Amino acid sequence: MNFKMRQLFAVARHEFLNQFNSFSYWMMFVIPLIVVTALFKYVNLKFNFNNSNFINMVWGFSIPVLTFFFCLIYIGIIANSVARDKTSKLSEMLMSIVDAKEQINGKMLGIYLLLCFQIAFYTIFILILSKVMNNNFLFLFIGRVKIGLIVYSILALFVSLFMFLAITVQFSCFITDTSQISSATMPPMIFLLEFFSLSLLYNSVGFDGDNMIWIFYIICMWPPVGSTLTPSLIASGNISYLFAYSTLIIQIMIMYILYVKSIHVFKYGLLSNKKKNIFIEGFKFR
Amino acid sequence: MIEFKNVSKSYDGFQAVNNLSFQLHKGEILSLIGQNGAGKSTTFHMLLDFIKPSSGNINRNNNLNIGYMPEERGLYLKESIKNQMLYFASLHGMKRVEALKKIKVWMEKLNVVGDIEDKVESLSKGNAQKVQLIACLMFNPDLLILDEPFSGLDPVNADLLIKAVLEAKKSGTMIIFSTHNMENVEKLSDYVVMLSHGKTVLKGTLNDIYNQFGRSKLDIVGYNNLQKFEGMNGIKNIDIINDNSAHITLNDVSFGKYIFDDVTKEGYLPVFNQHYPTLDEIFKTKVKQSE
Repeated sequence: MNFKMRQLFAVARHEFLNQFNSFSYWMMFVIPLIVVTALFKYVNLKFNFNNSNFINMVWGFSIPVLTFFFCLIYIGIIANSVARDKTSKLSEMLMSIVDAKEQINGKMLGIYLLLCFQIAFYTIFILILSKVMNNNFLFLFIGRVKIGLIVYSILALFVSLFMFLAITVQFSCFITDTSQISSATMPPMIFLLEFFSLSLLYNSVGFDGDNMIWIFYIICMWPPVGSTLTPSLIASGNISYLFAYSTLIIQIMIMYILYVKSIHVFKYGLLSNKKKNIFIEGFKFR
Repeated sequence: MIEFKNVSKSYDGFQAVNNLSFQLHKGEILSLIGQNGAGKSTTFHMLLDFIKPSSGNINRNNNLNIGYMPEERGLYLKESIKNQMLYFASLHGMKRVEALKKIKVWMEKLNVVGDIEDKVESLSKGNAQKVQLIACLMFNPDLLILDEPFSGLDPVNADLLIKAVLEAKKSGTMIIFSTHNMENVEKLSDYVVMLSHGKTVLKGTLNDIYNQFGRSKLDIVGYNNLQKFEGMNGIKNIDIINDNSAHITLNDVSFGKYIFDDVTKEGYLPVFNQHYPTLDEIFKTKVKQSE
């Protein structure tokens, strides 16, 4: 493993352990567990697992909710992490040791590890709960969802999260005191809420596919719009897999360009000590 | 080796550094002195490749292991000393066991009051600053950059810092630091670069600099008729402290001999000291001239 990779893993490990040992992370972590436990205990779920339209509709609702939940948690975490480096007056020293690129990648890797840990923990928890409560409706439900849709949804979740993290980094690197963290997380959260609402809307009402398909294609090319909307649109049968995957590829290409830009902004922001308007600085083209 | 060759940096028409040149070799200490806004931090930022110079060249090996203590410095307050030192060590590619050993050795050497498991928020300002220094030194850097390392340190801790820096120099580390404390410049530097508004107003070894100014300062104690020297051609300024003592600044260094002959005519004189101006005086003179 080369030196830069070792640095990247060191940053990721630090990020992961910091969150793992933080009370606020575990608070956010357990909320869904409480909801799921309540579902298992109190709701008498009589699903018709043979109705594929119903299965797709539930999946189409669930994926935006999960994307919203995970992105919301990790937008806050990465903003706090960048803010901690800045407000601890460590950014210059860190920059002298680790390149901006390795710092961003390390932080993101740490967050993806946390996400994987969270998903794995939830899966094991639900498995145990199913056994204990003698109720395996969730596994029955997931078993009826098309594997292609599950794979696409996971890919789209990872792309959405990456994009929201990159956007958050661009804003949070201009933080000079902790009171500004909320300002830095506001723009990505507004985007997230917007796309989340649109996903739910299109999942429930659909759209006139023939007339709007090209407009949608152009809209869905943009990350994280496409990655947030397309899983619901596939589930509701409004778009094809070809449509979804081709937009995902274009999104990844655009995302790469934006990611390179965000490294540049991150470096500039970390080295800037003057109090600035976070909104203006984050949106500025450099 | 590090070489700055006619390096300039300007921001929106403001000249932060103007035509700066110097060389730094293994085991040498260079001090960068100047007022606030003279261009010291900009020089460090260019050396660290945070910013690119507007013109000129900076030659340095890209694989240098750099220890940098910036002027605006801190630590993760909620983390223990051990945790964050191990984090910095891992960023430098150090192994955990080796790093732990080094941290303990340095904590003892710098007399850090506290336990390795203590959170940084429980440390005093001076102790936190020593921990920051350990973060820069524990991996035996090839280049050590210290921006105002003495600010906030009491004289005892400043001496510990000087010792640590001299030890790093002994092991071959190139060291570049900035300070307003001229006494520490005299204690540490092999080479001095003095900046004023981005321009180099003076540079060289301490001996070179002193020789440029010569023994132009004269202290006399125990002579009763000092007023007679006032207005003499070889004397630039006379500062009479009391009836029989004065500080004299000479225009012409050789005029010291004339004064010596004169004041010792009557016999014993407790103090006659013709010496170089202090670095502090040289600094003030140069700043005045550049303005």
